[in-house]
Amino acid sequence: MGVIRELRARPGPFVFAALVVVVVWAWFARPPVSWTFALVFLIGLLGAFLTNGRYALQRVLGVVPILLVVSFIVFSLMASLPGDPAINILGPAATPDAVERINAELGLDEPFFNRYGNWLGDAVMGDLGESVQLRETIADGVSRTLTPSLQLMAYSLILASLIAFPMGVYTAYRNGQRQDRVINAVMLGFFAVPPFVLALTFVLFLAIGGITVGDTDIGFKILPGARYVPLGESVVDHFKHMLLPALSLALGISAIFMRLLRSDMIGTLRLPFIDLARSKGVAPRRILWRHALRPSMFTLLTVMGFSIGGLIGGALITEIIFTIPGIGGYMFNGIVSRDFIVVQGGTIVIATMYILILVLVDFLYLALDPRLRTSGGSGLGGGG
Amino acid sequence: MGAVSNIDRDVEPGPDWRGDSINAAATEPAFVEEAKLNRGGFGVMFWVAVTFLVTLTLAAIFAEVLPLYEFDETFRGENRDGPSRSHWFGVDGGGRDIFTRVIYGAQISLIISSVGAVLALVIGGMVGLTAGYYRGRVDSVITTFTDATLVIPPLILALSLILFLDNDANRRILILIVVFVLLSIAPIGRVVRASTLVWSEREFVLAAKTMGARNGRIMFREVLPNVAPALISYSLIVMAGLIVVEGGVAFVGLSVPPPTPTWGDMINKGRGDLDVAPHITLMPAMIMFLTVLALNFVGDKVQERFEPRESVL
Amino acid sequence: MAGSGSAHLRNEHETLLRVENMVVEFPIGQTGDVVHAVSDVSLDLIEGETLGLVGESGCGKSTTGKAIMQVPRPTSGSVQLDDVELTTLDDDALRETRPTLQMIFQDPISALNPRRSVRDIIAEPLVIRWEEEEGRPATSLWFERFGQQLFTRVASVVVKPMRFVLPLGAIAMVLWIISEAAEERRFEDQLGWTQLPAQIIGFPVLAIGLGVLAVLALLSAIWLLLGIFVPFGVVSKVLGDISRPVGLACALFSAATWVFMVWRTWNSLTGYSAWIVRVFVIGFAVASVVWFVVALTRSSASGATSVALALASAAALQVFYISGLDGVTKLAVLIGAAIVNLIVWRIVKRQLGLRRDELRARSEPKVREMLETVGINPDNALDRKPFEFSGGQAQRLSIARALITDPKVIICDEPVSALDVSVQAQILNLLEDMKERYGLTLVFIAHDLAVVKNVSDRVAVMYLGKLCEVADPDDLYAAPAHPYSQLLLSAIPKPDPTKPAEETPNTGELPSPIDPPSGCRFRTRCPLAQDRCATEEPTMREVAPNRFVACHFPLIGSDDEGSATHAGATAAGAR
Repeated sequence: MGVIRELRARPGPFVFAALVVVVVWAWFARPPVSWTFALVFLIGLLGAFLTNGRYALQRVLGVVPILLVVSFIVFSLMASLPGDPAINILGPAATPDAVERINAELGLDEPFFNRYGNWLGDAVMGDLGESVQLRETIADGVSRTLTPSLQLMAYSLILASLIAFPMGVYTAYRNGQRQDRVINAVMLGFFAVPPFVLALTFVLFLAIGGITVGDTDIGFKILPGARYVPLGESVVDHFKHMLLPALSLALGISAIFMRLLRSDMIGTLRLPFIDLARSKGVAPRRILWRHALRPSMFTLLTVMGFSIGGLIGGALITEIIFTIPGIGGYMFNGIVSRDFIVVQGGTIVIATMYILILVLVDFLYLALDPRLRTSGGSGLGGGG
Repeated sequence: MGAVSNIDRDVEPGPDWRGDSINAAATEPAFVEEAKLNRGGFGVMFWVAVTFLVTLTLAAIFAEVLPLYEFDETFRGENRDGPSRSHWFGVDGGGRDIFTRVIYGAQISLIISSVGAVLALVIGGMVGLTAGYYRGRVDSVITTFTDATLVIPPLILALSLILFLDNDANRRILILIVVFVLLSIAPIGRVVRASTLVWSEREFVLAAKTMGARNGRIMFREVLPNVAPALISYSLIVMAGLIVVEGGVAFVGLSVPPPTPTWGDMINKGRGDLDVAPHITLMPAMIMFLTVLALNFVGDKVQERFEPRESVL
Repeated sequence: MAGSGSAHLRNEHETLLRVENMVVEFPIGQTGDVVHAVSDVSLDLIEGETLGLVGESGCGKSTTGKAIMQVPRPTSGSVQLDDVELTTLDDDALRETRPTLQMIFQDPISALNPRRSVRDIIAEPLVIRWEEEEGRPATSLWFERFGQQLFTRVASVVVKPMRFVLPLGAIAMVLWIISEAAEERRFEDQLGWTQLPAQIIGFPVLAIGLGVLAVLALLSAIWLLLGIFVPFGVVSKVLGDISRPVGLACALFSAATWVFMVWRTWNSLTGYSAWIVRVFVIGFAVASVVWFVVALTRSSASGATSVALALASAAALQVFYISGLDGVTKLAVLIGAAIVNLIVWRIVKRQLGLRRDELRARSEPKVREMLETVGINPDNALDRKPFEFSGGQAQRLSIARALITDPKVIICDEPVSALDVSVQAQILNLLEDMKERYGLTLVFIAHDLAVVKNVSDRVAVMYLGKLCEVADPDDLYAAPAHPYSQLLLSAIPKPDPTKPAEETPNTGELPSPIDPPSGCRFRTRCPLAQDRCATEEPTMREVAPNRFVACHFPLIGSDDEGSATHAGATAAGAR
């Protein structure tokens, strides 16, 4: 069919459209997070198969060894941490009999590798175990806490992109001149501030009224400094509460994005086709945004993929400061209260998502960069 | 067939074989009006940053002999006082001089980050070099393992490793170094690997093979000197990153335990008094920020100066 | 029309370099496709001959050159140099042959390491040679020599399998540590379902690995006690060169210090987790000792790396030791250790620098001689870096480097293609000169027929991985026998303004080497192609005295069917 051939030739728009549809649907229909994620991944997979099936298959299969290694590392770490799970559950006054009984029940007296095998087998089926302390399954706990974390990540990324793209394009255009140097310096500042310091500064100056120097107050009280309001409750409040946390994460990330975009863009702007466009009289703004931006985005895309993955579990301290019930906090509490099964489950979920995101980014490359698409054909150049 | 003609008896540095002169780029008209590359010195800000770092390092090294207060000396009655003549950074919630504690905190941060960065660079560098040079299966195996380390949230990994390696706090500083090295091997290894992949494709590596050089020799004598310059400045950036991670670890209370002051711990403790005595949090935060900023800035400038074409990230 | 076959090869006893049925294939990209770069090519060279290898970009000529050099080895086929079969030699034996067979590359600047001086670059082949031949630097301490012999023997037996055993042993150790830490039970109890496979595979491997490690550790300990260890080991070596008793005393002192540090640190670690840290420290130290020892028996260059490793482990131990102290003592010891380390580092550097200076001095006369021979003034050039030279000059440096080991055969991979035309002539003249002066045999790879004509005694034309024609250059140019050769020749512009410009026939593009055309690979662009060309691959045959062609319908001589068909072009066979 002509449609199939058309899709094969230009999968990019199709994949993009499908992704947009999924996101919009998820916004309104609110299916469980894992479903949405799985759907997005499958669409990406489909796009990749249409483009270059073999490569897609290899990439997906290549994920398995990494996941095995990760699961083993995580499991061994958790199994080796000090603290007896039975005593954690029963309390310090537990009798040896009770401890033995709990151990047998939970399968804690089996050999190490058996436990690993069991856990892995269950995890693949979706059963991540149960947290006795929190009285819920890990799966539930993860789903519960994943949503705020994902929202935080998404908002941070959007804010970061909103800052980074214009800044990156502009500084590439004005490379070496004063505007470039000033913006670079400011961005370096953002990059250098540890996110939790930035968060606290924001809280100080925007939420609790700032400092008093002499007789003057420097600061505002316009934004909330803590708490989380789910999207369902109140959209306005939700965003008000998420603004500061997202911003404190976004500024640091935007610096990295801007840097990468800028350096790639500088390279692209030197290429002859830009001069050609200019000589044809195309306006600078159009050149920058329409012609130069797309080829310059590749490094940025890769790093974006890393950022997404890194942010899911890595915004731990921000979540603590702003008391957002995200998965970082969930796992951290697990560590603190010696509830290691929580940490195990959470980590493996995050790691899986991270890896799949990286694979997705690779697939996105296929869609965006036509050079990667073909096998066969004389893409092999000179030099006998 | 015939004698060699046109023997060059005198070698002068000539134009690049492609016919461009070194400064051609500066004179060609371009879409982007680029300012001339600053071929001169590093600039004022660079030396300011270096001075700051050197001063901080010296202060940290010689903290015991400097005329500071003790870091756990309490000044009752001055609790939570702001900066003053006798307490430059003010006094914290427990009545201790913040300036002194910041200097002592610098000891921890600087030691951990510098030793960690150096060790991580050595180990990560070797890992990346091996992966990038040998490619194939060796590369696959190595990247699988390093990627596995990458995908675990770093703070969780750090905390778990700390607890795993040492439950009680005595050897904490060493454990922290070990943990940070383990965490940093993966990112550094990636960067080194990427650079090695590029450089080992070059013809002089092939030439070395045809001369019969062993792989080890090629890696260390031919490839490494080309990969390394970018790493020198990258090491400073890694150091800055480690300071931040240490701050994070200290923030949640798992760094070197009290009474030793650490920046992260001071920031955390000051959170409760943020509204009435913000300096408790702000002072260590500001010093940490300035240190990280200075390190990044210096690292950047060095990289710009010596490797204008290569971008480390 | 391109094909295979070896009719053009000459008597085996006359040829210096002989390539038979060489095939080079490699996978490309992520999709599992295979590039058939070279398919069944045979060549030979008589001593003193220059063979020109021509073809378009992508035809496989560079790959052929590299495959002859065995970098990388060809997928199949035979390459004989001076009656020695190169493809089956192991790495060490292959290394022995390197001085005889050298290569010059296309991109002159890229072929020289931008971070090294000209002096180092040109001396490098010599230095490699010497280090391989001589192993460690000469030593005057008797126990060093004894140890060196012992270790060379042990190392050569042990090192190779270690490459496999060590990683497996390391993994096993890690698993052991983890499960030991996880539970207070023994490793075997932890195995669970992995018990059987582990016992079958793992324990023998682990035993061998640990056993080997144990033997080496024991030997290292003996050598260690004899004082060859950093940080003071090197000092003793240097001092020992001056005065033996002093060196020996220093060595003993260093051993004592080292043992003391290890013992102090060991005792200062407490708790269960201390064992893990101990394993880390000891493992690192042992590994660096082993590495150091093995490497020192080979050459001083890698000795530098092992010195660095050993220094690192020494530093790590010092950190452990120092962290147990407090207050002013710590400060004092820190400063003291820093000073000591700096001194040791300086001594180590000097020791290594001595070796390097020695090799430099030794190589300098020859380097200077080579530079002058290729027309570069040594006094100006020796300390410069490659980027300071123009293309032609850099190519001269490459030639100097290739010649410094007195090779018999040099493979020139498009040596002038990247140069300006005026410089090309200079370099070609230089190559001619060198050939005469040193009695070289050259393989000259190029895509420019005009260049090849002047330089070669014999020309081979390649297309898409196969040979088309082999002939004397003058004969070839006067009357090409293969349609492809004719195509190449017709593309040479003739700078005669009086003659009208000829129409160059439009011939299309090179097909992909991943999926070459069946039968004769040239048939898709050949004006004379017929059905037979698609089904049957032509082989080399002699169509005239000393003219070899792989074609069913050559332009000279008769085709197999005896009918002249090159009148009337048929474009049959196009894809």
